[in-house]
Amino acid sequence: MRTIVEASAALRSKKVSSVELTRQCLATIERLEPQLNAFITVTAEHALQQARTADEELAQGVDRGPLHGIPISLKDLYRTKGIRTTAGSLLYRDMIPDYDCTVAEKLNAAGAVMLGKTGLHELAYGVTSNNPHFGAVKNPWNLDCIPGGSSGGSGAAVSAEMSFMSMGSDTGGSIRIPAAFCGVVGLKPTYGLVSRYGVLPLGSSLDHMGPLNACVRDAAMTLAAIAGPDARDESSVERPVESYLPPLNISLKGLRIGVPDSFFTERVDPTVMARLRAMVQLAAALGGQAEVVRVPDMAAINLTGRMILLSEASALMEQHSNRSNFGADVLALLDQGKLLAATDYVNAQRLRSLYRRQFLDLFHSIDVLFTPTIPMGAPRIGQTTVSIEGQEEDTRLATTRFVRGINVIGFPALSMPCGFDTAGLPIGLQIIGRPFDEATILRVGAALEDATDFHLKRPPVL
Amino acid sequence: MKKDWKQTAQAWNLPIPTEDLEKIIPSLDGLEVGFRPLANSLDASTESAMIYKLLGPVE
Repeated sequence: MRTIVEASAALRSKKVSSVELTRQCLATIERLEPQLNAFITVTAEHALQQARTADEELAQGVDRGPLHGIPISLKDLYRTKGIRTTAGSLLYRDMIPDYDCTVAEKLNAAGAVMLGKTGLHELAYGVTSNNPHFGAVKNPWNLDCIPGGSSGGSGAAVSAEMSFMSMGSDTGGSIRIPAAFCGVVGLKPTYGLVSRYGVLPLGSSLDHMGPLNACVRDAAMTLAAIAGPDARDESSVERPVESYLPPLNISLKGLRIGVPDSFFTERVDPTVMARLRAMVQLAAALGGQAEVVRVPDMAAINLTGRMILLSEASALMEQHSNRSNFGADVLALLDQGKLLAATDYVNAQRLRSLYRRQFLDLFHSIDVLFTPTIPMGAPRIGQTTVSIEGQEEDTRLATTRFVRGINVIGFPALSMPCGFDTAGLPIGLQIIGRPFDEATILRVGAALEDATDFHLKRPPVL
Repeated sequence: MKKDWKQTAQAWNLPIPTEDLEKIIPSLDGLEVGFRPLANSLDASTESAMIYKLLGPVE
């Protein structure tokens, strides 16, 4: 049993208890944590107490919804009352918050059981989760490879069945990247749909909160529990929470699928490209109508995103002047941001308005856009460059190439497993949708998932 | 014209050691080369995506 869909049904039919599910997860954590290093803090006693409460409530007929009694985890960026929250940084290594972030509040209210806090790239500022202070998180599909980042511990925890769901954050791909590299589902909701309140920020105008899950319907159930307006988050949008859960037997009839004619098809591992084509064909076989579309200038959007993130992150960290508190890669990024002019940051935010409009125009003729999540499978730990189609590229830039721009425009995007590369490592399909149209990307994802079995494959570490 | 990042760091009194600065200059140069034409192409009517909205009591 590895999905919320299965566990939730089993809990209600009394085939299993929350305490049993929690013990199962804790046992898996104990067995695999020495290899994966997916967690910074495991809260076993806290989890068992919450599980006992969930069982009592369910027995009394109190049902808080599909997450009730389900063991989950949070990236160690989410403030949790009374539980250490480090951000994977020396700056916060001993920080014990006196309040819960909004997402933690909502998950508590939904009856979820918190197993602990997952590892991440230092300050969520990077894609490897090779953390100089808390150690490297490993990929369950190959322990020599990165799980991606910055939510690497969350990706590894869900992939290795340590946790039924794990919350990540995504500033330039940090949910979708580990989802793709670890062979799980990752959802970056529309900017403003899920509250950022109480989560340590990186780039405030780019930060998105979302889940990593074992299947698409689990992502839909999680989103319903965490979405909604929050007066404590300035970017939060007043919208009612929908039911995002895709139905069974989905037809994609009438769905207009955009397939990019450029950028997302360039410098891509041939296996990844073949899997993208196969998923487009599958969607068409399910009734969708695929059409090649011209996408806005993604290279320009990525540059704009880098300008914004470098500026916002450095501004945020400016007060921390002790250089020994930071790892080398994070320090290099923070130094870069300090050297940029305020005029460039403002102009980047002006360019952002144009790009958002261009994407809205594109979505007049399509309902979803299909792209690879990442142009290649997971690199090895410590690998600073990757070679794709004979061209050397910086690992960080290659990994973020197809995902960063979507943070700039703030549209929702789902990464889901769509196959494996020649080394047997997972490949992700990215499905991008209109603002606040999570229901459509989840429906499309579920339709593809129902017709394939990639999400059922288990990593060798198990 | 190429930016002199070392001079900028000095002028702004940024305590970045020379060897660390040397490492980030290629990345900053690349960003500058790509971003400058984009910034220069902006029309004066294009507003920032980050607009301040004053939320007050409804009259």
